[in-house]
Amino acid sequence: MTDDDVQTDPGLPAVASIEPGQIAPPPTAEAPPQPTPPAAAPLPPVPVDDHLQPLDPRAVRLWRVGGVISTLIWSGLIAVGAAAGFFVLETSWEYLAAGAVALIILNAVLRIAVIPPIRFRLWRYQLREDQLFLRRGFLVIRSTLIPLVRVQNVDTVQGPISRYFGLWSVVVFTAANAQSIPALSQRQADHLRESIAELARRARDE
Amino acid sequence: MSAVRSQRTTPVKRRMHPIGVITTIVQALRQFLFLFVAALFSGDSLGSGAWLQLALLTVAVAYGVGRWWRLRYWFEDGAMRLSDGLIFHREVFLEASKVQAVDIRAGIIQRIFDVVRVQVKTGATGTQVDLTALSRVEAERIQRLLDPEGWAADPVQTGDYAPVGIDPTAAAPATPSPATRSRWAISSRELVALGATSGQLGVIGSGLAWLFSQAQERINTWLETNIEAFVGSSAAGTGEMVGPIVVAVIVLGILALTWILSIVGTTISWGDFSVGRKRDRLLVARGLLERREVSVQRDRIQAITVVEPLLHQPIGRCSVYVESIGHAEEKGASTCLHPFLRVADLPAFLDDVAPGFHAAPRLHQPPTRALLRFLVRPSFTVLAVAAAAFWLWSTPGLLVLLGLIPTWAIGWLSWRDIGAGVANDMVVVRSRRWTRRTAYLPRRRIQTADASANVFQRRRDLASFSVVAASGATGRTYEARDLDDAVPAALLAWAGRTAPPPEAPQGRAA
Repeated sequence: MTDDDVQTDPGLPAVASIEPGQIAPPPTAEAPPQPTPPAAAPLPPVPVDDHLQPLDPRAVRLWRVGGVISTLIWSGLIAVGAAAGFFVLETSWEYLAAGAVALIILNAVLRIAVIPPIRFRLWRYQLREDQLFLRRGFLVIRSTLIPLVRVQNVDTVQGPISRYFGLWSVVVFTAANAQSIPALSQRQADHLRESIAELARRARDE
Repeated sequence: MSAVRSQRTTPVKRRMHPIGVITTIVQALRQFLFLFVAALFSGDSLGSGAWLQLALLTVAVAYGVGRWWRLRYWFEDGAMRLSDGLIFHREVFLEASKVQAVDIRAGIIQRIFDVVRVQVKTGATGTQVDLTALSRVEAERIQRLLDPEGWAADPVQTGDYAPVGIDPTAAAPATPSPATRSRWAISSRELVALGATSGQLGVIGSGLAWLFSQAQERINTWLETNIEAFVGSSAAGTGEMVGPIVVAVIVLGILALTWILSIVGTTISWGDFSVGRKRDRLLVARGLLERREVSVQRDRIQAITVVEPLLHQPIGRCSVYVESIGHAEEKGASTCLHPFLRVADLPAFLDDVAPGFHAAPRLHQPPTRALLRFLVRPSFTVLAVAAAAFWLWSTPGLLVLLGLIPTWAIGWLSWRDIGAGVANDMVVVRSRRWTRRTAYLPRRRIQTADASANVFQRRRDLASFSVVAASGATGRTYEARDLDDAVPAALLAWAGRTAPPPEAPQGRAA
């Protein structure tokens, strides 16, 4: 449409064109005179979880690989720190080296051996009728509740290491932040994404 | 589209107010300011620099006139369209329903020529349309046209959407200024008090101190000669005698100057303040030199935050912020509704300006067994600093330990003030360290709710509760920490609409 090709349809921006979910209609617009379509076929129920669900058990191996990588990075940093300490403090290098090695080993044991299985055991999620519930942590245990009405977008994503294990993350976006459920099998992830999207759509339409 | 072809008329395409030539030039000059400065200092002779400046000025004027001539905007199909640009052409298409704020403000130039500047913002990328010079009537017309609910409220005023039979150029009937506008004005005495207790005192003070330290050498010699002349003291030992006095005078001087600057700054930026409600919008206007007018669509309000800085608590004042999506004026994405409200007036203020956002539930507060955490945790920082000070200066370094007293005081106050509660389908979350913050968040605005507990909290059956509201393009988190662990669980269930609100607390009163 060029600048001069103008038509004067007074078609107004409908109030309802405000993205649903992001902005609820103002309370004054309580009774929109839109007649509900008669005899709407009942929507097929979306299966929800009765219990808290664990992640895919391969998550432990995935996180161990992640632990190896971060251990390498941290080892480098610790080594640099020890070297800097050697030049600044001018103490004997034996103690510094011993301390650095101890730190590196402790770090590696924690990141590779200890934390992944504990994190896996503590990670739970549950898709409920109108909300998504997450609980996870290691030292800090966090429960998060996301009302499905507020969900704007659901993605499944996969990084290079996850791809090797065939694992997917489900990322749920609200207007304020993104929450992620890591390490699900492809079937689990696709199913969860579809269910969340569908339930979110229905919750918004209500 | 073809169905209405017979009715087509050309929409009125408009340019900015002729003053727009000047404002465009000024904007352009601002971009090339460094070139001007470079030109000023370039060459040892005056001639070449001046010629360069003249050339640049000519280019700027040509640019301003051309830009002003090319910039045209019009309304069509419930959207604002704009065509702009001399070298790079820009066509803007802004759907009215996507517009999140229309700000009217007036800088110094606009005030001189009695025009205003209009900025149209959408959520995606901040300012989309920036019209630097418009008459006030025209600005208000744009505000109405881009306001879908405003359209629904009084279609007669929004001419362009129904071009048949309505003259879009007709001035809109002046909307009566709401009575609330003057009711919450800030008196000049309050401005002084606000400036004198402003949170910027520290910034200004340290800035001044830095400036002083830069000029210290010169000031020192000046002071010494003058004071010596004034006191007429003997040559011997003047430095030691005068030293402490000079230091005291300088410190007092910096303090006084800090205060004066803060008060002047506050008066300039908050003078002539008004806040009010116009149909479905909140309007905040302020500023003496640069006039800022912000409007927030009320159905985009996500949360209200009441902030009480330490210095405002003894005088019973607070500032009120509104979090809204897709609108950023300052302080990230929150807009200040009032900088210096009497705390006692808060319910009336919210009822007036943002109805439905006030609730006064009894708050679930940290239990007595949590108090130790509030005292011990911040002490570690002080102890660490004290250890470092001791290592550096031995015994005198232990004076740092005095810092434990205010730390414990703040810890106790935090324990006393923190809390979370539910009333009127809203959650109220109060946090505090030096500043006390109370957030009012309707349940349907909760983006996510969290309960968290670390190892130490779990040992004492404590947990923290937080809610996240959307604000600007991201979120804002409000947290009440170290509550009885049953409380966050109950609040989480409430937020998820699966349970009735948790029972009123049986513990300490709010």
